[in-house]
Amino acid sequence: MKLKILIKGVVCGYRNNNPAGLLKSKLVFIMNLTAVILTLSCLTVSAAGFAQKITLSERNAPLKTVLQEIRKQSGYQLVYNSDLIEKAKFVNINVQRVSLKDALTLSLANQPFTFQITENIILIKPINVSAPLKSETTAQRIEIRGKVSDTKGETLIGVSVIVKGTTNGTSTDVEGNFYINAPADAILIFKYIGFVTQEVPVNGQSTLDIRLREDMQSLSEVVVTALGIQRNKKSLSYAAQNITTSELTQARSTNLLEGLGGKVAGLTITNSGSGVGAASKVLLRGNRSISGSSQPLYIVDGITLNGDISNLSPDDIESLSVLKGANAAALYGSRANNGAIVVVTKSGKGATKGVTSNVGFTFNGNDPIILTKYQNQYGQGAGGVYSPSSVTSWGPKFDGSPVRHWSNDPNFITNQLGGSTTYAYNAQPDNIKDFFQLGRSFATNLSVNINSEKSNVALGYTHTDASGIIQGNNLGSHNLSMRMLSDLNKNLKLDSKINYIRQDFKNVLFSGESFNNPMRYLYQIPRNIRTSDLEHYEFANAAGQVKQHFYSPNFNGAGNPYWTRNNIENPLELERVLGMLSLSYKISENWSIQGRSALDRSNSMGETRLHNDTYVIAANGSYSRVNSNSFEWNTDALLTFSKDLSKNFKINLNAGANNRIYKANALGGSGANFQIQNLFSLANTLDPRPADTYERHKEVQSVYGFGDLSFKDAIFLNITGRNDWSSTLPSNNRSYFYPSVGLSAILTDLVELPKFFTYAKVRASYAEVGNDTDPYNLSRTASISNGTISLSSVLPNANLRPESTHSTELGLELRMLEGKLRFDATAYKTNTFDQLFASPVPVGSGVSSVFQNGADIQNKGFEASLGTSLFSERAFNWDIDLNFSKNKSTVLEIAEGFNQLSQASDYIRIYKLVKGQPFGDIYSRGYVRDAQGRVIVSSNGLPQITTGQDVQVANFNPDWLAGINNSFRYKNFSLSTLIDVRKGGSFISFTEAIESGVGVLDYTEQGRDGSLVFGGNIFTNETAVTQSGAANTINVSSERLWNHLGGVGAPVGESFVRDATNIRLREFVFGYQLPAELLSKTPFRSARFSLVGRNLFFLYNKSEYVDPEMVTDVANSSEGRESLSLPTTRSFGLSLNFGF
Amino acid sequence: MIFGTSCTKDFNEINTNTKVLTVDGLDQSSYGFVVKRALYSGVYFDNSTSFLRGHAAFSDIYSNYQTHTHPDFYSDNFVLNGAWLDAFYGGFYTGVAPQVKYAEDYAVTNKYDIENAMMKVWRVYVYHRITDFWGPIPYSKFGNGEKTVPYDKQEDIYKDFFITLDQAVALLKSNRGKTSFLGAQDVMYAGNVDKWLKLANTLRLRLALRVKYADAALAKTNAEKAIADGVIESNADNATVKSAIAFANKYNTLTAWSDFRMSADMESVLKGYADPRAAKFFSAAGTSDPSDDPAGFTFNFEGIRNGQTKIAKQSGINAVSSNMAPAYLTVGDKGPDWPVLRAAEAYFLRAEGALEGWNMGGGSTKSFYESGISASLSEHGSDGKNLAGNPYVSSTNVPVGYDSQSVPVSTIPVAFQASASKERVLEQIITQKWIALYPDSEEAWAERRRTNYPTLYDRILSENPDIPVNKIPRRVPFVGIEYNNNRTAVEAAVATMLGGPDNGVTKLWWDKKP
Repeated sequence: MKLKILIKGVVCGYRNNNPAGLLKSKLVFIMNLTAVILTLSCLTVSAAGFAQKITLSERNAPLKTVLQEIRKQSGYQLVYNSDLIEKAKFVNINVQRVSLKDALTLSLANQPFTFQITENIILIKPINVSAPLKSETTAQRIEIRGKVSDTKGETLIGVSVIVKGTTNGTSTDVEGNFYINAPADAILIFKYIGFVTQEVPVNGQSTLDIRLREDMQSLSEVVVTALGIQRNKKSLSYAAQNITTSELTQARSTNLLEGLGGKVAGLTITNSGSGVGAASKVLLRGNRSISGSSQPLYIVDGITLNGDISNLSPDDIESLSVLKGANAAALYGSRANNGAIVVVTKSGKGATKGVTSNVGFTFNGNDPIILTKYQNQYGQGAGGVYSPSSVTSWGPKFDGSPVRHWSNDPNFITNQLGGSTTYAYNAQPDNIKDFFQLGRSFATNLSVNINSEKSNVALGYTHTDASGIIQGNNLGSHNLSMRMLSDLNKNLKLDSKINYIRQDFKNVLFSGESFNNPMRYLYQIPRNIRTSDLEHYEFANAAGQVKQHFYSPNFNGAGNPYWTRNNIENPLELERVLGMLSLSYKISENWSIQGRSALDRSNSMGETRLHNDTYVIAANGSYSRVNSNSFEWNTDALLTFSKDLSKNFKINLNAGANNRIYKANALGGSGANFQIQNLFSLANTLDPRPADTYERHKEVQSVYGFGDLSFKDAIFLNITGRNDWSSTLPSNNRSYFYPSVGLSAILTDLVELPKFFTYAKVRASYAEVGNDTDPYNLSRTASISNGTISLSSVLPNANLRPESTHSTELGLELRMLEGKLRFDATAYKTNTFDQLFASPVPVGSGVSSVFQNGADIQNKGFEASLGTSLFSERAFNWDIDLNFSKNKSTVLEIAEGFNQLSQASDYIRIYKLVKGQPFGDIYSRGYVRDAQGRVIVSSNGLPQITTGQDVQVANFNPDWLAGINNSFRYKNFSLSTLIDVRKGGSFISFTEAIESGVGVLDYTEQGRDGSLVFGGNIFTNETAVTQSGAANTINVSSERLWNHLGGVGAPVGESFVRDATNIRLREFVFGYQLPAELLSKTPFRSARFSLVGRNLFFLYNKSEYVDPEMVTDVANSSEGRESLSLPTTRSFGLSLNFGF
Repeated sequence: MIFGTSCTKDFNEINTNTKVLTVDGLDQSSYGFVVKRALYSGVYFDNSTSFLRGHAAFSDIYSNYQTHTHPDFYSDNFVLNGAWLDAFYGGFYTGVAPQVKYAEDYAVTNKYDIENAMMKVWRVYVYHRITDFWGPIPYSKFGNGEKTVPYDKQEDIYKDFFITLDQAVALLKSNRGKTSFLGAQDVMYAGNVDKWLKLANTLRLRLALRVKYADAALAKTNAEKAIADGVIESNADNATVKSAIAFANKYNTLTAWSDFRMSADMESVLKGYADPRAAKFFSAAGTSDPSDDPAGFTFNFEGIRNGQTKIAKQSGINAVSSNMAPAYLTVGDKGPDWPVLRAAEAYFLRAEGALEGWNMGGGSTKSFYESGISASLSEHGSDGKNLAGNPYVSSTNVPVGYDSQSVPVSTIPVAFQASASKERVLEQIITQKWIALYPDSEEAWAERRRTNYPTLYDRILSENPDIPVNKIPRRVPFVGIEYNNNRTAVEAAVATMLGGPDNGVTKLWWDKKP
């Protein structure tokens, strides 16, 4: 549920009243100096007076205060009966730039008053209850129930529903439902701030579902920006996008970030492919950081986090805005150069008075999709000869004949195989698929709002119970939150929050080539190995030791995946506490001050337990354990001044200061060589290794100022400036300043545009963001361990300068045909200079790398979204939204004397930055080519391979990304689909390299007889020649070729480059809201259910065998390589939500 | 700014990690810890990964001590993969060379003469093992802090070794009878200057014979100088880096990975000689082959030929062949001490010197040869009898086939062949030295290249078109990280110092035996 505008209000009909009644009352005239001045001007502009924009944000405020505020903002005189007004109910109102008329209507909602505006005077008067009403028709009165939502299907709260020509009316409740008794031929008027008023004839219908369309003239979408300040989107000079939170709760994922994929132009999500508990990588507008993270900063309720939001409960989230670039985030300082994701949690604001509650259940199933195609012709062995201890599938063709069983358990043959030492040599097509199970997650959420005159309390509890597609990869999480807003007095407001998160991972999976990753073993199982034999993964030998049941015992780098799954345990417990206390005080009409302090603290306890006989290091078992904790504590103060300089000019100035403290430490221990097998305790090890600890401490102090100047509410100028002092930099460079400036103009308010354009805005901004580094980078360390001292191989630099990002962006927003057509586009260019990183120098220099400033990474790109509402009428509507983004990251400069920088390397590739090239080129071993680019083949028929990994073969960055969202609504039904397109980018599949080397892939089936010709009938896209230059015709066997190209030790990356282009059905949501009349006899206020599917299928996947989004790790340096990831999953779910 | 300066006064303190030292903050009290690290890391090329990638994957294999049995690694088939060698090279230059340089420089600056000498000897020891892998390497310009670090020619490096040893020996001689303040932090000799002097001289002797075929005069001068100054003559003076739980022998990590097994050559020689050291070097095979045992004793140690095919490596050969001896196998155990230089080798070097007619200090080739054998046997706790119960030194045993079908690896007997040709005697000396050096395969591979002895089996399969099965790599190619980060220098080394293409065929400077 999204609260569009946080007010429950009724728009009263206004009629001319007898002014004589007023004269009986004691009249109070209130004026002030501004009013006097404005009166003069208002006389001349009174016709435009109603266009006056009022912004109000009051909670439980006396009506008088609200009216005074309206007087002040409008400059009109105010006339009312103060005795009556004092007795009026308190007002909750939160509106942005609405008309005077609407502001008054809403302020007087549910009050026994109405108003009248004449010239420059506002007259507040009691509703004359005895005033004659227009007589109703004689038509039969019927009960009408219904629901009001916006065109996107978000329910609207507090929409006034009035029988035309009467004062008979009601408003929608928090679920958007209304109930009214009206004549069958009446016309209902639906009125709501920011939306086009609609008149709907009843025509005898007892249910009416109404869809209101946004009024583009008073576009009032609110975006939460820096420091938690809400701003009208139209005043922003940079790109920001809101995410509808209902999408996150319905199409729920155990990792909140995963749900953002495909929804925001310029945002990419990649998952680390290691099951429940795996991290996600979020990138806004591409990579830019060499040594640090390119991921955005996360801000919750105005406070920067010490991590991401992946473990927040989606149920607690009220709004989520994506501020895409440095421009949007300049004020958050150092870490915002990658953009920011800003979350506001639920506070219960706007909910009905009293106690309301909501309970929701979400079930999700995750079904593994095995894209890889395996051969089912040849089994275990090598050279066409069967071997029961072989780890490869280069054996003979399947013929069903009896072959020797591999079991190393002396009792297995007797007990499980009935004494037969042989079994039939047949393909086991499902022996990989059998390993997986249906992953399940079940989330239960309870939320309660307790609202009273002076305070709102929102309580939330979410429990998630999830199991991955690998047995044992489970998560139990608890998420408890409380947020309280209260008015300590008229001017002093308190906002406080505490959020406790506990996650209990039973077994976090290892990834990539880790010997503890079961995928490493699973994907290589010879094609004849039976699941039922492998499932018997352990046995006790004669000495009582637990041993691994495996076909090639003690093989370095192989094992029984079932053993790995069950006997390599990696539990992790995480606790996180987010706390915040904020006080704001309104000093005067123009001045206010806010003080705030917030903490984000995490503790974790992780263990790794390797049972005895885990290949190849566990002697009686081994154990390691790390306890760590970290916190980030931000304290800030903000002073705000806002004033209308004149009717056209308004100014808002802010000055603030922030103190940020970050501390982290860890304590760990490990040991192997146990006395007692499989007793996982440090006390049990014979070689307790010294405890390993680390400490981190840094502090950043900042002062900042920002101001907005607006002209006629149509031109907005924003300026920010921030100065940081970071403890991580040398004292002479510790202080750094960075400014930003932005300008936006609402063209439709300034000039006459063709009627086709309902709204047009242009914006431009320029920002600089400074950044510091990690602590302790100024002096070369010498670490002590085991009574020795070793010198660090990184040479620090005592003269580091802060790094800096310069970013420029231009944008255009258009709403056409009353908002039926929407277009939004941004072009940007960002350069990140003076980055702080370690560059490798020759190891002979005495160190392996030098820490220094350098580099210029440029990101240029373009983002656009286009939306249309095909039928925005009542019963059926269809919205189509497209988003598109294109980013190009280029390494313009590395550092003086460095033309390239290796970021990471492994057996298959090096991840490099090369001057003048796109960010993140992948180099690997490749074919030796002649001058014409033809592959040279040796006399044995195998292509010649470069010895080093020095051929540029891939780059993961996409050419462009797009999302297509279709949403349909019919009455209470809704359906939305999200199709996600990625074009371009490539990666190396280490999985395929390994799987081809062991002969399990379908394409290794061809040519087992020795009939392959490189460049002839295999790798047909290459032209191959012999050393003499003649066309290659040399035959080679499949086994020889794939051993040459694949395998784990020194694979030829060039042979396994895959295109990451894909199109997928990312999300599918079908929802049904139970009609109000069905619920009227139940205890429920509302009930909704939805069916959800995520990642259902690929419409196109060029890489075929893997999902390009499933990478190995989320570090920058893991890009461009897929290595032994879990299969991708399709998930489907059901969610039920009840309101009480 | 007022805000900034007043509140940031403790920032320097905040940005100081109190859990680690800084290099600038090291002093005499911490000096010994650096030395200890330099000694310990020095023998293992810093860490178990680099030890695996250099020692276990190359020198162990090219000395034919071990056979590689992992199907995914091909160094035994002469594939000289630069990426594997990166870690080895990097381990040395980031984990060993800086420690040694710091320790030597600090001693020079602070006039610690004894420690200065010790670190000079140690520098020669650690670098000679590295230059013998590649030939030219960064040596004199190591630690220049520049983006290009030039290489040195191997000839120049060796000549500097002798000069460095001159300097060290002079310092040690003038401190005879003294003990370094390092005490037990000297994990080799507990600061005993006299023993360090013997090590320095024995190292000189080793290097002298190494250059025998390249510069005979230099070899003779230095060999005789070494003897004159006194070399290691007793196992009590052996240079070994002592293992401890926290400083375990790296084999005690590696052997668990089951990447290699006893070579067929080792089986042929040890079994033929009924060598009592077999059980100190290897474990009994999981499944042994009694059919190839000689009459009179059981020999459960089984070797396999080098250069196995990938297919064969998958046929379960680990189970039917011998791993290293039990002392090397327990993960977490400290394992055996690492041998740097031992009395046995010193005697074999003197035997070869005597064979050349040099003054090796009152002994004959035969007496030195036999002393070498005795020293090695006693080092391994043997009473001098072979497995058949007869005296080892005088036995006429010769190698036998490693299985019942195969031929013996060579025909060289244990007993000294006084009447044999000089080459035949050299083969005898080097064959015994090859056994005695185990597991110091860097030295064994270097001596095999220098002398072409011992006579060993051919590979079964070579995957390197340049190197046939009956040859071995003479060096390894320069590594990828050098081509990435020090390209100008490495290209200059190839063009002007190496004397051939950067491959496994080009011979090192001292590899000049006709």
